[in-house]
Amino acid sequence: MSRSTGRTASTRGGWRIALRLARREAMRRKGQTLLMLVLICLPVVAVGAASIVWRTQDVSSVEGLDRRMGAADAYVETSGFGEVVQAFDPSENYGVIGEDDVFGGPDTLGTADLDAVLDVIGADRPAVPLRTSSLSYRTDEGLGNLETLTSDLASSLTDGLLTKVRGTYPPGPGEVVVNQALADRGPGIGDTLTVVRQTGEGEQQIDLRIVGIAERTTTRGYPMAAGLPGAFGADGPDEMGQWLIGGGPVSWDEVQALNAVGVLASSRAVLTDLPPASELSPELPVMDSGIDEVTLTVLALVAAMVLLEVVLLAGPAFAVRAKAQAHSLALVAAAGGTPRQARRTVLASGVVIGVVGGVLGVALAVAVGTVAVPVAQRFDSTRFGPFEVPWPLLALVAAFGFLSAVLAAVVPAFSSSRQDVVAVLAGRRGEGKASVRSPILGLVLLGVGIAGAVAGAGAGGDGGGSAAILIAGSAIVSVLGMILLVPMAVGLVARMAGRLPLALRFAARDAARHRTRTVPAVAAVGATVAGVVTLGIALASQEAANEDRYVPMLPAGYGSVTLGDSDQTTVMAILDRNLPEGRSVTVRGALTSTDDGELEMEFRDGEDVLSLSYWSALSTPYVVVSEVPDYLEIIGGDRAELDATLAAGGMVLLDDENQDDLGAIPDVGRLAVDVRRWDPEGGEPELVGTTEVDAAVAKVEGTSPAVAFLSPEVVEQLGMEVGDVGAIIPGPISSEAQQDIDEALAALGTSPYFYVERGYQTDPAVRIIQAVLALLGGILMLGGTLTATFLALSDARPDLATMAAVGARPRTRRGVAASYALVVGGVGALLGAPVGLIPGFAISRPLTRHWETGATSLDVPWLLIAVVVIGLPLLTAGVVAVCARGRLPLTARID
Amino acid sequence: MSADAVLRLSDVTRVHGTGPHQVHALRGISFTAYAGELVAVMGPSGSGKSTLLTIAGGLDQPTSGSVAVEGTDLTTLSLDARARMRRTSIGYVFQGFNLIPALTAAENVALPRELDGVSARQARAEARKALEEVGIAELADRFPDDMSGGQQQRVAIARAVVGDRRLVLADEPTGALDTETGEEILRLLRARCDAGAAGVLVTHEARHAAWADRVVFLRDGVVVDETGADPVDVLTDHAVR
Amino acid sequence: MSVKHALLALLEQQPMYGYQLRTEFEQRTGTTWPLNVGQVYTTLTRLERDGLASAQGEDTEGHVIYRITDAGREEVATWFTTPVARTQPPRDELAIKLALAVTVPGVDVGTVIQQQRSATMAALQDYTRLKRQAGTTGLEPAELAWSLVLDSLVFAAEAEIRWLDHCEARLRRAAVEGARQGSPAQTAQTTQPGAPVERSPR
Repeated sequence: MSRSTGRTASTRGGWRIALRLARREAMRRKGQTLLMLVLICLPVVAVGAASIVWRTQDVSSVEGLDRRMGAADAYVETSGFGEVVQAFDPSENYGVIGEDDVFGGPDTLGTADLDAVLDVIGADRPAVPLRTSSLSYRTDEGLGNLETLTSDLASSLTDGLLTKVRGTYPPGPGEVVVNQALADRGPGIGDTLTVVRQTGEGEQQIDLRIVGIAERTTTRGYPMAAGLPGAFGADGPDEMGQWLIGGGPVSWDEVQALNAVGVLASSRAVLTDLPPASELSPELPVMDSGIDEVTLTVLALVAAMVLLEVVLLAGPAFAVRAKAQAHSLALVAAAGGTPRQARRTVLASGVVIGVVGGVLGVALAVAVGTVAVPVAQRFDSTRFGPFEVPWPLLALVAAFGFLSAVLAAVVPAFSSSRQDVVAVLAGRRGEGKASVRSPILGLVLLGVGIAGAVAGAGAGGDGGGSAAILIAGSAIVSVLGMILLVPMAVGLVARMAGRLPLALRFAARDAARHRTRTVPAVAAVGATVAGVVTLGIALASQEAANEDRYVPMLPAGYGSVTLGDSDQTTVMAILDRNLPEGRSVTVRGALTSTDDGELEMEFRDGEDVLSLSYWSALSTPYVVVSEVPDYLEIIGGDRAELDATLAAGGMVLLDDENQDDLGAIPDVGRLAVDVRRWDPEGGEPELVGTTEVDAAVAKVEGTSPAVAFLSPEVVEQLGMEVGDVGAIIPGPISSEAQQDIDEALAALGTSPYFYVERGYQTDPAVRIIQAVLALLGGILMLGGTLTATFLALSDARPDLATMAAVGARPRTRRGVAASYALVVGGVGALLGAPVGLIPGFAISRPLTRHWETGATSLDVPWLLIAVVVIGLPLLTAGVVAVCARGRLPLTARID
Repeated sequence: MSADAVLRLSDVTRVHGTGPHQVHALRGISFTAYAGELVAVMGPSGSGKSTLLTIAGGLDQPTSGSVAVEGTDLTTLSLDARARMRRTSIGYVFQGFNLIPALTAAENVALPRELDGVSARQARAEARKALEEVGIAELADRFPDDMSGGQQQRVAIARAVVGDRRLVLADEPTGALDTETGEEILRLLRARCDAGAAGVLVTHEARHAAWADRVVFLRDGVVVDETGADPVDVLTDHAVR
Repeated sequence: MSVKHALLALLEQQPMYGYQLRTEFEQRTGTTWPLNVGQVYTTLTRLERDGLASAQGEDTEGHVIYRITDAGREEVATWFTTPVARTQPPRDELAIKLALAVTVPGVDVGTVIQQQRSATMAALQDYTRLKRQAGTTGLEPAELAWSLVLDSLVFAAEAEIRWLDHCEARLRRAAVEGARQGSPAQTAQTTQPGAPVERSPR
């Protein structure tokens, strides 16, 4: 045997032995092995199942063919342009050729041009129209919305578009089938469906008889009715033409021929057997690849953080495993083994766990995915595709799990190869002094992280992409630096532990003596806390910015109603029914939307046009009154004077806090008013009226409900119409009253708009996210602390037995367990919080920078931080105290 | 000895396991240790001497019979109460020292007192007193890893006597030590007993057993002999040929 | 026992007469090996005959003073540096007794062993008590010498007890194997095997 084969053979042999040892050790300590497997498997299962659900939900072109075109060979639709190019699937991408091509131009094909279409691909092909639209229908409460589908449902080409559930199918003339969602809300089989349609002439009502229940294969949960062509009203001449074509496969050449006349085609033949990409026209617009650089980088950073967390969480378990093997490894070293062989043995544990974890994780992911898909389907109205397992993705995730297991075993492997053989053989537990290099490196990394964060915060410019990447990257670097500082921190705590009560003192010192086990756990907690703090700050700052920039639309507590198509009397009746009599006030305003066009009003002081702020929710900026209404609260100006101005035929301009940015309104006593009409063709607005009137200025608190109060004389002089435009209701309005009014108004079916100014309302989503953050942080912290604590307890068995022999109460074990948890959680949280503050501060800048003023907001959610830094470690310690066994190990020898 | 009986085992039997694999560690043993006397227990392995000690210390319960320490029957006590006895009345010295490496010598010695709820300051004071008694007051702030075997055993003894316990149980305390150091350990135990405690010493070394006032021989869980405690100065007798 | 060399070693310190020598010897070795004066004088005469010591006249009270010679000094030096020879196993009464007890039927060897052990242990306790009184630190050379002698007694007693333990274990194993092989076991009788052997220093 030559030298070289000898070496590789010995390496292989060495690995074989190492793997065998690892396997045996894994079987011997089943509990520990299970713990490690869970830690490795969990992310694999979670991500794997999620990707299964995602891919299943994603209906690819091929999978959706039957849904889109039933049994037909192709689905074609006119584009409204003269010539187009398309991707193989036009719903993904298509483009228009010829820049001066105009939509709906004279040469384009429409719904009446089926012959022209068939001319291209074969005049004798069977074809049925297929049309979908959104309409309304009458329900018990008023009007509801529904989706409609019309086609020649008796034709075999439509097989597969709908699935019959009950009753008669296909429907005949004057008949429809509806889906279960619609039937649940109103009419069922045998009832009449009244469809309401807005046309140029007004409202059109169509009554149809429901003869069956059928489900659309693409969506459920949304009301749908299907009937023969024309069932829901005739198509206008400008509609696009959409047909299902049969009669044999439609080739790519034929598709391109259709493109040449402005028709897009989805051909079954093409989509099931895609031609080479070179067939695509070069004129096809380039699509955004979907995933841009920034998203990719962020995904990579998230993946790195998750990997880090898993490695840190699994680290203690591997450390303990290595410690258990320490004795045998020391014997090996004493017998002449090399450090490399010692490393190999510990790494083999990582390999074994990683392989098993990855495979097991994938298997479990498939199982979980199978269960999760129907559950997810329930929440999504879009039908999922066939159950799809993305094997390459799962393989990647499994590799990730394997990598994390090996990485988690690396540090214990190196530490055990350097262990003090003499100490181990002498039975001395604990490790030597910590190295000095790592804390220094840690401080350096922290410095780099801070610098990066500051740089990222300053990066004004685009505010998004690059700043985010820089800050996220520096955050990870900071966390790595923090990890390197953990040993020093743990040692420091141990040194200062002299004054603590017994259980804490013992836990702190013992934690420091077993650094390989303690450091990863503390680091995991620290990384978690840092993440929570950073995200918390980002969230809170954004919220603060939103709150700062919120402009109320009405004075606080006020409500307003815009009529829409509603009748003023009806609306006022509803309001008076639900609110104290007389509270609601009818608003009359100068109508700016007329049959002749849109009008706009301008106020001038000489040649200077005043810029006035308008933020109101009232339906008109110009309210017509004879005196200042009671609902207006004036803080600057004399009401009597203002009334006098109005009585004299003048107007009152309202100066609110939003006006400050635009400049004060000059109080000159007399202003000019111009009325202009907009030109729909885009030309200059035409002046249709002007006058000069006395003007007073009133200062109001907050946001004023209108721009100006005009007296009827002014409006008449300007030649504008006055009308009821809605109501304004001074507050307070209870939420019950608001709800009742909402329901009553909605039932009218004429879309009035009711708004109550309640100030800045935090998006409930934000609260939810904050809660999720705290919860996630708590779970991760609990996980990391629990593993470390229970591993520590098993390590400390001899010490606990000694305490028992010396007379400790059984519940001392609980106290020791809780103390371990407190030390790990507390130190981790205290280290992680400051590290999280830095990127948090940094990212708040680009996130909240005002596009105009450049101002930024910073809100540190101290409550969240206190909960996470102080509350969670205490809570974790409490949970551990409750879960720990309250019995000490007793040593009773049989002699 | 006219002093009171600090430890009294009455008809104690301890059986391990059931059926054909039963092991009778002790069979109806009656054993007493008085205040001020040191009793040695000798016997081959399997004779039950360590079981005797663990039962006397409340770490194990007899299958039948009673174990009274300072008048209190340990068999009637709960786990908690027995632990309390170990904290306050009974001191145990192990062969393997069994010091907690994460605590300093003083903290190890103070352990039973601190576990009993005594204030840290007072516990430390008592610990220092005990360490002085065993002659290593200067090692109070050292960790066990930095001490020799003899020093560690002294700390263990200090822990067993801290707070003036009346019963000291020592299980082969000199096993891991050389003869010179072992003898010093025995001197300490002897001094404690002279000061009023009752001591029970399990050992297989006759030389060390000889420090006791009474030597009890165990075989197969039964007492087969006991040497007296009458001081006879054989050598001054000139009865020796 | 030959005290020749011990007396020579004492003479090396200073010239002495017979009675003085005895006192000095007993002071250093306690009453472990009591000498009578006659034995001392006989030994002195022999020393003089061998040329290792010489009579030097009398003191005021008429005692004959002996002094060591150069040859005597050499002899002493050699004695100190030469290990004690184990020329022939001394006749140990206990070993003889046990050997007989095992082979003579009708004797309960176990009881013999136990009774001897108790007695030896009692003696051991006595020696230890003496040691306690003496202490181990701050001893003058003479006290230290006595302490070492005491230790030799202690170790010898312990060795005896260990040997007794060993015999007991071997006898038990032999009995177990004998029962297994079906050979007639030793019948244990409760006859008095006689008093335990007294500790005799050698």
